[in-house]
Amino acid sequence: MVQQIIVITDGCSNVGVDPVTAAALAREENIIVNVIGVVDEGDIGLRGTREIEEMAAAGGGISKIVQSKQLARTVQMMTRKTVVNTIQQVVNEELEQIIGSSASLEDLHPDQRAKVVHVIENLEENISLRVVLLVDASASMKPKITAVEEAVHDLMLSLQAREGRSEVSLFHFPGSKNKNDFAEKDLDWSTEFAIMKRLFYKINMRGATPTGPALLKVIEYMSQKQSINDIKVLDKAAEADKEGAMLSDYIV
Amino acid sequence: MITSSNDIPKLVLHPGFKVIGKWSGNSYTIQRLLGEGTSGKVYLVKCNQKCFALKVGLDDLSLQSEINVLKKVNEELGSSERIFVESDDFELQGDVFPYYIMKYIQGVDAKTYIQRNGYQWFYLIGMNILNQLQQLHKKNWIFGDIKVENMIVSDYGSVTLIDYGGVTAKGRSVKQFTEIYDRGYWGKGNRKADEAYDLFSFAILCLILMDSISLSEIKSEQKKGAYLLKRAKMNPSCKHMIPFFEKAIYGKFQSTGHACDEWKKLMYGAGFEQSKSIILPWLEPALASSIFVFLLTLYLSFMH
Ligand SMILES: Nc1ncnc2c1ncn2[C@@H]1O[C@H](COP(=O)(O)OP(=O)(O)OP(=O)(O)O)[C@@H](O)[C@H]1O
Repeated sequence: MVQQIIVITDGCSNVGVDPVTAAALAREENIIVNVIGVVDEGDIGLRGTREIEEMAAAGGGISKIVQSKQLARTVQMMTRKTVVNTIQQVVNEELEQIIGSSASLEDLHPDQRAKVVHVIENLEENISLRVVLLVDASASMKPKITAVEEAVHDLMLSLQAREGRSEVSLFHFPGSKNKNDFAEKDLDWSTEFAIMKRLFYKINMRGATPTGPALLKVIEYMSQKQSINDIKVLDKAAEADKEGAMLSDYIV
Repeated sequence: MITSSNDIPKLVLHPGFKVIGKWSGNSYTIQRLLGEGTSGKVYLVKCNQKCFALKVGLDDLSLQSEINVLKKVNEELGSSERIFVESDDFELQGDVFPYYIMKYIQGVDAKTYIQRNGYQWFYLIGMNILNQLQQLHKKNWIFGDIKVENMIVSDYGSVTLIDYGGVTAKGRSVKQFTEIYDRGYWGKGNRKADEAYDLFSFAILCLILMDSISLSEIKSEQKKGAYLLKRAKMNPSCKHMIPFFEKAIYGKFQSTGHACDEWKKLMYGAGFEQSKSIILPWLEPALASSIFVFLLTLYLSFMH
């Protein structure tokens, strides 16, 4: 199972726990945090840029600052990278055991490499995947919200086509119903776009950006679901074992 | 560690450089850069006076995945149709770079070809592309990333598909696509690899080749199948192919075989005739007549 949170924001957090700490916690829970900064005019500022970079670094993911028209593509790219990287880590560990400490794809004979890549691709298509998009709904995001909705739609379109189980959930922050709610769920785990509520009406004019607390809420949500759905959840060790067997068949 | 090397954007191979295969020992001499895309660079190389194309990838994993597909496709083609030659690694300043060698295909992209040789070639080129797709589809592959840049047109309109990075086994999620050619982008279906996926992209390709739509002008509110058909109907050279476009855009073809049949039927019908009689296909009759009136007025006012 690959778990990922993509934070989409255009500024700095200003309430509650440091989002970098929250991202590090996510990493501990086996959730990758990727961060996209969206700016159409001007820039995100030094503080904002640094926060975005550090969040991604702490969350084991990547960060990117893009224009809203590149948003859909960026969300796709990050998701794909997260899946591939997770699989590569598992495969690397196996390779290290089989062919020694500094194993790299290039050290393999081309025939073996072809087989390893074949295994990686199968996993990429079949591994189960969960993505939460956590969207900043502060006033300045208003002109970009349509692009965010399009990106969510586009991601679902791609994930629906996978053979493996893929689920997407959507949160915005801060919550718009309750003042004390740091993040509000717009879409429960789903493979369908149709049931998503329009984000557009959730824009918040109050100016608080509780990125850290919102992240915590999402991490809790993701790990809860994990314990309920224990049976469906393939734990990492079991997967590694399975693939290990496949790999060593090929390489030894 | 398996690394996806990011060193390659900086990698420039100069004419005269000898690429020596780490595993095979074969050597290829760089002649010049042929082209470069999002996934790598392609060079013209020579080995024993023969020309080949060499592709170095940006990402080892995607390059190897492309090689895997090319090898499998090769197995199923006749020796004259095969484009994959071999794959290997070379070392440069301590780094290892995987690459593969393919047949060098002389030609231009389809858009340039049609611009140079006339719209009447469109029908033949379209048919050639459909035939290539049909071959691939019969073997349970989908090309995926159909676009102007991914095919080379040689003499007499013969077509070679290049860039197998998007080739996907039927039933899986399409590995690589380009937004404007993607049926999901147009709200006309999902991204699962099936024959209809390629046929949709093929229809977009046709509209681009015939100047019915242009990449820069499309806005998100126009992302509808109806818009595509409207544009096709406005173009006198496309008009007769409308039944084909309709089926391709709305996913109505049962198979690529059916699509080929329909294409031929329309092509031998009014299609050819139409393209010969129109000298300036991009000029709407109304526009043409208003230009005429404009010139006439100009002429008359100077005469006074
Ligand atoms: N076999 C070949 N013979 C001649 N020219 C070639 C050949 N293969 C590729 N080229 C040239 O190199 C260019 C880039 O090749 P290719 O499309 O494979 O790269 P890419 O990085 O995969 O591109 P993309 O951005 O579409 O993924 C092509 O547009 C073409 O002009």
